Amino acid sequence: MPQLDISVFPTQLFWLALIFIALYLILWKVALPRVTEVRESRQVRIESDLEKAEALKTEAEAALADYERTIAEATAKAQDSVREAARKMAEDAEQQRDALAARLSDQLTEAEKRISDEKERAISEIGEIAADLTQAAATRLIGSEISQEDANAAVAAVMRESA
Amino acid sequence: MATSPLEQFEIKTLIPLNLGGVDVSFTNSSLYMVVTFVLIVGFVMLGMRQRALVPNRFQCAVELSYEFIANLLRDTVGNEGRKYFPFIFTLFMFVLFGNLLGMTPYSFTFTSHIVVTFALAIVIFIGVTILGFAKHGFHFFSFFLPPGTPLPMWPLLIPIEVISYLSRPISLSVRLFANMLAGHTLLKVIAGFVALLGVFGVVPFAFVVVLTGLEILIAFLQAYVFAILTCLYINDALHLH
Repeated sequence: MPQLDISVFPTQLFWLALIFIALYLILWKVALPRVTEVRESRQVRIESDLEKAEALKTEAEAALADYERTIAEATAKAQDSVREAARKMAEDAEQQRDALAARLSDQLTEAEKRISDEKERAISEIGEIAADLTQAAATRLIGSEISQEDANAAVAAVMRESA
Repeated sequence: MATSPLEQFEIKTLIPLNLGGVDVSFTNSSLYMVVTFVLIVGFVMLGMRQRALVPNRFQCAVELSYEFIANLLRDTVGNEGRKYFPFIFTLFMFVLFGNLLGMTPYSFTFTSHIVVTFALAIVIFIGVTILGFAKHGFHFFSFFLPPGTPLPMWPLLIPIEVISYLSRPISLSVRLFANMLAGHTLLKVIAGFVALLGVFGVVPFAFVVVLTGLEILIAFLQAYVFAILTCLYINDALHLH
């Protein structure tokens, strides 16, 4: 069995010691620190990114709250404006309606006055026309002229009777 | 063709060297140690070449091995074990690459030599013992007496504990050496049947294929066992019971 050949022990021990110590030193001093460094920088980066994300989240939440408050304010303001406009419009409409009603009643009064004037005038003219007709009719019927006063009196009498 | 299955373990001198009357020739064993050294350093250095924040597959493999050993050490020893990390990492990688390299055909497995595994084990044993004494002084001897043992049991238990402690380097080195020796010998023996049986050689051939897979698993497992036992010994030295 080659494993039990003592004559090859020194060379194996010598090279084992040499290679193992060299490997240990290189890994310990050069190679492994690189791995450690990369892993640590990654850890730091992840932590800082998480912190940043946390900060951004807080900021976003603040912005959202701000936005919601602005929206609420704007809504309240808009509702106020709408209410105000509605109130103003109602007021205006009322005023206009009142003005229109006043104008209409004025016009009505005026029209009524004009009608009654016309009526009076017509009535007085009817008297005159009736007197003239009476005069003319009497002339034709009885062949004699009757005075204006008599005709008027007769017409007035008849009108009083029929009134 | 019909060579001994043990021939693969023979040490062949490649470059004769003599240091103060001692034969330290560069042999096939030395060659595979150098190859292991180059592969491990290359693996870590090339993998970490970019030092990327987001690692590529190669860097991921390096970081995975790093994390594997770091977790192993943390789980067995705790945070005080951090300073032994480079040693455990070197040990694990050296044994693992040595074992795996031995799986390539016509190669040499330096971990199949008891002198190599025993040298590693005895260094670990002595180192751990020194560590225990440095940390606890003579209180370290209390390690040989499980706490709460009744006085009549002392004469029985102390020798048992001392013997089990002293047999650590033997069990540690023989486990690795025997696994490598047995696995490679078995592969060689069964591979010998492939040529002998002619057409029916497919049966041992299939067996060799399966065994090769198993051997790769064992190569990894033994490196892992070697590393984890070293961690446990360090833990014992630091914390006693």
